[in-house]
Amino acid sequence: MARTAVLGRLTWLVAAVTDTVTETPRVRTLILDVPALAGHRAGQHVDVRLTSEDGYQAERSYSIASAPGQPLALTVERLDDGEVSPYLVDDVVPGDKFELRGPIGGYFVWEPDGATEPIFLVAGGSGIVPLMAMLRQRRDAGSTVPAKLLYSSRTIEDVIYRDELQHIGADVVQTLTRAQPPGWQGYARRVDIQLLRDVAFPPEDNPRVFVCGPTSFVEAVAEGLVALGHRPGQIRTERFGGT
Amino acid sequence: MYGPGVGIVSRGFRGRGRGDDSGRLPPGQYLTDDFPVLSAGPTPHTPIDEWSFTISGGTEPVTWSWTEFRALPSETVTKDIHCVTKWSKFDTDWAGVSVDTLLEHVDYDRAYAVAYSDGGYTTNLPIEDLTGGKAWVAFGYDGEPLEPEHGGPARLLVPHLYFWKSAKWVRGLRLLDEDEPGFWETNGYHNYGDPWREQRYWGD
Amino acid sequence: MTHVDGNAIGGLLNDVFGREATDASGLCSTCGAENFVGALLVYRAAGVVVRCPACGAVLMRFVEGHGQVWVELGGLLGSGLEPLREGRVHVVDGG
Repeated sequence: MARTAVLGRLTWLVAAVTDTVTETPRVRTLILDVPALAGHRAGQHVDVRLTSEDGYQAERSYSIASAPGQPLALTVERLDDGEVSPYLVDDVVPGDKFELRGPIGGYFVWEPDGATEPIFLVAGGSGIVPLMAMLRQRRDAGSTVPAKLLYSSRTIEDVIYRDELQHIGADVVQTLTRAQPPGWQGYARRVDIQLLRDVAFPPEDNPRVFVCGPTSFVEAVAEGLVALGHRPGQIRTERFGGT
Repeated sequence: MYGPGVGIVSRGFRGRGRGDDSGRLPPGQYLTDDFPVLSAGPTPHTPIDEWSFTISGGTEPVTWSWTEFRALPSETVTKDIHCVTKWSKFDTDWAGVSVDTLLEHVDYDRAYAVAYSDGGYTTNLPIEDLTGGKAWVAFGYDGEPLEPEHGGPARLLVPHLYFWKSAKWVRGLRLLDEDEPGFWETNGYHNYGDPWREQRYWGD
Repeated sequence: MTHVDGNAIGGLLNDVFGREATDASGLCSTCGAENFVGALLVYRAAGVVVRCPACGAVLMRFVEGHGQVWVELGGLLGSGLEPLREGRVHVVDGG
């Protein structure tokens, strides 16, 4: 482990599932025990590798949902045509094991320590996961850095961490793009420039922006923020693929 | 897909692909019913009235516009295809112009070809692997016009080799005296790519 | 399947460079745009293709197989990233 720290080189470690939390009908959090894993930074991810009996291997990346200092948690969304996610969301039980490599990432990371600029976090669907690690760490640290989250989901049932977000200590703005419950007070459309203008810190506040979600969502949001006057250098993006 | 050191087996995990006993599956491949989309770059969208296909390296270059290309005799073929990333798909249906048909219009005396595509992709083959009924410029898949994400309006189809040789968005062939490794052949993938000899990487 | 970005290949980059690489930044050899590796566009084809977000030029290419990795890095300048000198890492010249 000391050698890993010196070289910065990652190796495959064994992760054991200790607990699972159903977040939404399609999303589950796995709590893991990975004895050899070094501490992580909020925003980082791990690579997960599964091997079947016949030796077939599949590898995917999942963002770390937990704040540094908390038991390692990955939040996984089941993709309809997925090969790995259905297994992790539907089949895995405590005691199951798989391989894991990480933590990975040095660009899409944030920590409250020494932070002075406000943070504007924009999440599309499961893009909330690495941003939640940031918000959890900010809460745990008692940080007073101004923080806003704009979180786009399809329906209220798809909102991950719904209850916890109400107590996360940040300004949380939600939009539900497909259907809204009776009495819904949030936005009810896809994120567009007008919505960004209404919700984001103004460019003069020089916020650090983190955008995560499907590729097309991330690119539309980043372009919109630049069009509103935010400096590209202040915007960091993580694309999850998909549509 | 076998990483250094065999991984611990995860209880109950099964990959999406399956094996096959028919003898039609090359070594190391898994059978799929999907048609995964893998692309080295963004999907080009060349307007059909700007599209052309050129074969150069003969005594003079020969070019077909889309209309001219579609007026050539074409055929439908059913083929098994094999991607180097380990998925295979049986009985895929294609409509296309045989490369033999195209080369009938070219006076050439060369041994190698490079297929080149919109977006800059290239792949190399011996001309022998493009002739004798082994290759097509395909404009239809599964009874429909070939979709852009699968290489439309037209792609090269060379099913006896790994599918990276079946260049999407193909715009022409350059015929050469000497072999000229292409986009992946210069970067670790095997220069020839026979799935039955499992020629995936350099040194295989 | 659409593209992703350099974050998605952080593990592969660590494998090749022996360190965290997504926070390295470099210049596109075609258009000069400067970006963090985490912000570069990543296409998964037969291998991995890394492209400049400004002009689309190929900056890096990776092919993994048999525990080896073949890597072409010619399109990204000034990043300070050095491939590991190990038998399994093969640096190739641009094609």
